[in-house]
Amino acid sequence: MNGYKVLWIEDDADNDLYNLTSPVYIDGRYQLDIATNASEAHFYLNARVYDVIIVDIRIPPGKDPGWRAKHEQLRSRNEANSSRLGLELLRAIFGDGEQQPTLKIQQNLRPERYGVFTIEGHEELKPDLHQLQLARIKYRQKNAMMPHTALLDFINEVSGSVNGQSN
Amino acid sequence: MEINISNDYLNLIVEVAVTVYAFLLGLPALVSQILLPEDLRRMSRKNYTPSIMRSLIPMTILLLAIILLAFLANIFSEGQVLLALSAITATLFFAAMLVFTLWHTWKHLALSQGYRARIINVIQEKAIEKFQSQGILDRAFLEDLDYLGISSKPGAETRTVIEALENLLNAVNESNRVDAGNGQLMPLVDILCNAVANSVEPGSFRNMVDVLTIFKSMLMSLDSHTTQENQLIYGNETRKIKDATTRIALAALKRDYVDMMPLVLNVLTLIPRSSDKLFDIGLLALARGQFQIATSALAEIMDRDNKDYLKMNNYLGLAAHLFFAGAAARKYALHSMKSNHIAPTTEELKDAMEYHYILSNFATVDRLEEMKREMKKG
Repeated sequence: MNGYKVLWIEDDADNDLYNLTSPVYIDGRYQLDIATNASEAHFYLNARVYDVIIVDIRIPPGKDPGWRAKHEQLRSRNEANSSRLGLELLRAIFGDGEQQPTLKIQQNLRPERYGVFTIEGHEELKPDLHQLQLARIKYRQKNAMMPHTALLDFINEVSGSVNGQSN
Repeated sequence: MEINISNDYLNLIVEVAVTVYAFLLGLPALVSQILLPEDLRRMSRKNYTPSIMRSLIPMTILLLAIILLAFLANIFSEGQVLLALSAITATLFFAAMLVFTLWHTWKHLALSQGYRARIINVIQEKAIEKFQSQGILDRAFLEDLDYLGISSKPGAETRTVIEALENLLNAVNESNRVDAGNGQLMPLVDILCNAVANSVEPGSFRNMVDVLTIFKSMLMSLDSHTTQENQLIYGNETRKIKDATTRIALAALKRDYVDMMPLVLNVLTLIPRSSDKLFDIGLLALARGQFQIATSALAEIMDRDNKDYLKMNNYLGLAAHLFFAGAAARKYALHSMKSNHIAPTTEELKDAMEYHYILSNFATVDRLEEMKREMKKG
């Protein structure tokens, strides 16, 4: 049985970015689940236990009415950021200083076990991550020039930080 | 001002109005024969014409009103004022009939392309109505949706059927009238699958993805409602979704929709005991030279198979095929076994061979036998 259980929250994971999963499967050390929207991510986080969670910032809401409502709410407030539901997912998991966590998830992972893998620049995200008290969360930017091993490398980096620690 | 009007004028209006009405009655049949494909004609004849013909009710009322006015004017032919009033009213009614005729003709001819959507919408509404009143999904409506799904062209036409089924599914889920797991949702799974994988024309990529996404949300719902007492995720709905997903996957692979496979694997990983289907998909992918899919399937089998009573049989079967699919594929098969700490014993390989022999996977049995010999050689 493969070692680390990894959840990758990424809307393009089962099409454009699927090539990134191949090195993870070939590597053989990780059991990978893929959530392509906030509703699916919510489901996986509630149903399974993970060692590493990689989050994209721009993800669609999916079919869950709660996430759809949240998406609509953001869109009515600020259209540019309405699809930044990955950030909302992190807010639901960790709270944001003023607000307690709202997502009751199976795992109680420390922020070090999370990674943000997104197209947004780090500088652009910093204020939001700071507000979530996740300023030191591991971050990697997606871009057209990234190698096929980008996901595997990032998972290695995030899981490396938990090596030797009990789950 | 002198009113100069006779009963002839009213009689003429009645005659023309009757002709127009007869034309309108025949219009749907005309459109049906000339513009509609066989499947829609059949549906129109079967159940749904009354709903469409209902729009003729205002026309019938207008015609009856004109006839009544002409009748009254003929009876009381001496009263010029009554005659004039009847003529003016009948003219207005007739004008309304003409406007209605133009609108109706335009709707039938210009919007005949939307006829399919209208019929599907009528079926959907009737099915939801019956479900809400009686708590059952009427087979007759489902069969009609199934028929329309199979005979629709890929793309927008099939999409309409999928949307109707999704609305039906949502209505069932929202009502809480059907306990998930009692089998009522199973026909919906079948129809969704048939619409994209069993259609008379090749299904579109987008529609297949949409159906798989619906399956995924159904599985999540079943999983979320699974309890110790009620193991919904091990129920008939899940089995049906597993079969349907595999059928879609095999249809997709035959059409070279390789991009869909990640989603297929993603759906199957939500299903317990799905290693047999992962094996099927991996094998077909291998046959078509899609190594990325085959290796993903092997990895997923390993991740899930330990939870299955099928144990390692499917994993070893697919690994054996990879073992003989070229040097690099053999390297991966060995790496996979090593990283998963698998050194198959003779007994395990024998179990796997028996398992695949019973399923008539003779090629796999041969590969396992050959792999056993090769591994013995070291």
